[in-house]
Amino acid sequence: MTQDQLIKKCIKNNRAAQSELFKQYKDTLYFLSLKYCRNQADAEDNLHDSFMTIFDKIKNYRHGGSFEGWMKRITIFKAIDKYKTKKPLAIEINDDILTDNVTIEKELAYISIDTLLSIIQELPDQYRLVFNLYQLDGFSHKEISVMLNITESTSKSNYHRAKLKLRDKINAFRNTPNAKAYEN
Amino acid sequence: MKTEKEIGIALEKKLQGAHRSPSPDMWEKINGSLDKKDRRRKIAFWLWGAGILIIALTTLYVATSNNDTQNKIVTIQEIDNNQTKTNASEIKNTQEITTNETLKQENVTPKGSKETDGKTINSTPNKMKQEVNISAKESTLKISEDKVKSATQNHKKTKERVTDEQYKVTKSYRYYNSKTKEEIVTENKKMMDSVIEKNMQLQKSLDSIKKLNAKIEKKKDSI
Repeated sequence: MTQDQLIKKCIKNNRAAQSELFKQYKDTLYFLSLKYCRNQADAEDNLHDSFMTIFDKIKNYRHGGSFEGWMKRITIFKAIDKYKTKKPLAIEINDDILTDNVTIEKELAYISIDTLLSIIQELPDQYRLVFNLYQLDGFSHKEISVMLNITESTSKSNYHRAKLKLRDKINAFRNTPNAKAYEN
Repeated sequence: MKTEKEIGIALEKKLQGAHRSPSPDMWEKINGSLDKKDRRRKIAFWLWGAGILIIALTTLYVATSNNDTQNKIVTIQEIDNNQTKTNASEIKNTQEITTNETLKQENVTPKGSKETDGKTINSTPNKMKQEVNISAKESTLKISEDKVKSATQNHKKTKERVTDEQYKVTKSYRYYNSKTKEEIVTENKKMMDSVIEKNMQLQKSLDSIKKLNAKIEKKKDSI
């Protein structure tokens, strides 16, 4: 079954087609949810809500763009809706700091994906959202400012602070005995 | 030798193309939610339909009640059947009684003429002919002219009840003759009373005629 046929059947509320669509995209969208949410439970909730919205709005999908991209956007916006209501973090901005790169000394090859995910999940909600949106999903700070209802400067600041926190957490993890043993 | 890397780029590369699977019962949860949503849709559809129906019926009711208020008078007629059934047949018999009897009496003792109740009975010594011309026409038997027949027992009342403050209340009297199918409806009570009075007189005169006829018959028999 082609993607167009699958979409048409989903529009007709065909349960088998909906199940097939879920099977095809569940892993991608779940991983996306894991990056944006605080934990696995939240990520599963977000996945559930995202698929419900996808099946509901699939009739509005315009075949011009990528279908996977359309579904990813729905998933991201669901996560943003989940955490956006929280009070934005008030941070003083120093433009010099924002231009500096936040670097790490070693490769991340020896850190598992699950560990990295949990480190990202531990970030404050707005830092995590900004970091994911800007770094991992390619949104501009201008777009992020609109999406999160913050200023562009705040978005830049949140991104920079998020990277600093990530570096500290990764370095802290490397100093644990388990990580050292794994590296050696 | 230390190699420094921008942390954002390093994380991006590391996480690129990675996947994780949700719990196996995830689809069951979604499927259950979709079922619930379908049920809600059906209920919403029926509620919507019912709502449209209620609105339509209400509109129809309002339109109908507006027509009623324009008329403003709701007439509730109560016909007293007990009154209408009495003496209907008798009255019919008396409607057009034109008694024009010629009684030929022979061998009647001459007693001259006799006046009874204004009617003349002529008798001759040998051949007594008694003609009783009873002209009931003269005594208000022309019912079609008066349109009144024993209204005392045949009248019907039409009552109009007040159903609302805005309705006009009237009281009318109705007379109906089942034989002639004649009907009189009036709001004037005096007129109806006069009709009743006339009919009572008519009935009395008819009774007297009957008595007279009975007497004549007796006389005839005795002769």
